[in-house]
Amino acid sequence: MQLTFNQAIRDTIDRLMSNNPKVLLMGLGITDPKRFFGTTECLIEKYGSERVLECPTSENAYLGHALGLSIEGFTPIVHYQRMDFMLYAFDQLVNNIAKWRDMFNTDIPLPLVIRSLVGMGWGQGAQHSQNLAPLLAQIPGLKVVAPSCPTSAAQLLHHSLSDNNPIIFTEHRWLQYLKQEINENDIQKQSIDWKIGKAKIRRVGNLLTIVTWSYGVVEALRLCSLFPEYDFEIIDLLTLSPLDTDTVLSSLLKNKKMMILEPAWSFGGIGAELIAQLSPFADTGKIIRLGYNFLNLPASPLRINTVYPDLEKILLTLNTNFNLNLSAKSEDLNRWPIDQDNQSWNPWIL
Amino acid sequence: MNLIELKKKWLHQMATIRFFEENLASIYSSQIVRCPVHLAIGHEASAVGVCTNLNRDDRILSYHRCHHHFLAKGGSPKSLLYELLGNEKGCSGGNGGSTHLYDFANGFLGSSAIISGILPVGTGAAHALKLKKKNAIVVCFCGDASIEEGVFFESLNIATLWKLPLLIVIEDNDLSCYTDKKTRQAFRDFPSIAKLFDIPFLSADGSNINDVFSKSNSLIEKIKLNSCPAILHVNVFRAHEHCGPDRDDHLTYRTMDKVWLENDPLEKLKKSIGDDISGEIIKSADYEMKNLYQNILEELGFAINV
Repeated sequence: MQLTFNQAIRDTIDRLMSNNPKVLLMGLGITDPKRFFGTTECLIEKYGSERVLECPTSENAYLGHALGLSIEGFTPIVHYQRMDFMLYAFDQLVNNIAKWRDMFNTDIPLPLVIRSLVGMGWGQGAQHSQNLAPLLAQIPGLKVVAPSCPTSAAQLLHHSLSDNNPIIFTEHRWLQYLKQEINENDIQKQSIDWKIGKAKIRRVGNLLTIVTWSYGVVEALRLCSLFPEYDFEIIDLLTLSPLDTDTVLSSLLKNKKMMILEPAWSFGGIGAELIAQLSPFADTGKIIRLGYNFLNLPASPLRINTVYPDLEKILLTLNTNFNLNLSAKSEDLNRWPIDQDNQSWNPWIL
Repeated sequence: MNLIELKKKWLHQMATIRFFEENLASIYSSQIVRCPVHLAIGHEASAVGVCTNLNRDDRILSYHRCHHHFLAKGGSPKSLLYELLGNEKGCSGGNGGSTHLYDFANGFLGSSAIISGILPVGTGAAHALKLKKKNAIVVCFCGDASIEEGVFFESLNIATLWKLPLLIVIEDNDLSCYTDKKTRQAFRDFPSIAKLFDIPFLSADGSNINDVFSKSNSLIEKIKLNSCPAILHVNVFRAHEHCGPDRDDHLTYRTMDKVWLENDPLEKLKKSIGDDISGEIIKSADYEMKNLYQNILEELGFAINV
């Protein structure tokens, strides 16, 4: 069957709630008419307000509340429609949730999943589109997941709920309406083909490796489709913490050339971390990174290209660093694979 | 239990806390306790008075000044001392130190340094008890400064909105570190905060354990009857410095001596019981704590006399 990313999330939550009465949903907007991008459609009707808790606009308190429920044996899935609002909850997230078990030296299960959406592009502005996943990945005690397709979303959500650790489940808004042919089993139960902390090689290639995650995977796969004669290898990290450096290292040792494409700020980010960890092994190769410029995110369409790495910047970076000669039609250069009217180029259905 | 028996029990519990803290203060300069300590001397009646009303199923959470809550909820002084010494036999495996205590089996869910940071954890735990249909409550102990953090208001809103069995005990010693309340707070008074949410509120004298006991008792009844949160405000005196083993009267930010002598909860309880009986109880608590310290220090190879 074909499902969009948001439908895959919805159906998986439905399955998880029907399997386990301890699973609760919490957050602002999960029962509103838009149903959190459609991902909580029909759940309040099916499970009632005792298990689907529409919350006050108290980002910090409702996350601490979820911790209290988790300590007492429940499995809350907490919702933030924009990651920017989650900054209010950093005290609970960093001071309590990430530290609870270490601080008290206890091994009680702490199942707790935080669904947090990140945005991009013009219109959203500085406080509605930040991708702070790399910042969160810096905190010991938190795992940070970033699916890129409906199947990975469904599977990593299964794994997140059974992980018994606090998980930050980041979802890129531009992925929400992408369709994919998905196996019913991937919604129904978790499979060992997916694992938190395990990257996936999306395309095998011998010329150069592109390491990316979340929305960046779409951008990287479009590059492959525009330049089929170039043998790129694409690694989808899927989890930012713990980071699967083994998979990335194997690819680096094989191809010697690597670009890390980040749908987030580069400064002090995942690319920086990977390069630091891989540099002892990279003496015969080259690793570069490309992400957002170190600027706050614009609301104006006139200024988006100052921050985000569009195809033009990707080609320029590859040509300059790896002596390639990639050139694209001008109408492709500044076009996003997915635009805000969902005129999508979809790598998952070709 | 009749009142005199209850008072004897209280005296033993409060003296245990007092002597635990005094012994801790006396060994602190030897530098074997390698964590900051917030001594609870002066706060004993608040913890013991409230916890007398609790069962094992009831949960408590606490803030940085938490030794008295831990002991009053049934935590073992031995595991607390191991914890302070950074030993793996400590209640938090030596990882928590003075500020992060834990005793899940006794319903002590944890304590945190971030003032009001445990309040929403308390609302969540109270929610869980409600969903599990337990006839139990959660008590969050916090200081007077916790009201100045936004999450206090957020948590009170959630607890009232969702009708959760939560008692917030505000231990009011007038100080946030060294800054007094009138420099920090603009709201009219504590009852007006409860009035805002239309929830039960009482204020108790923290130097009088019977007052704390009976007022928390009546609030807990209301919490269970009306399924709503409640606030108990307790005036307490912090006898020592904010953090560390010493008195700090020489800093002259307050005049404590006279106030302290009139409001020491332990002295007041001793008086109300009478010298003969209380003398015995005090002696035995003193002996027990000295012994505990001596034995553990010896076991761990520290050549220090208490």
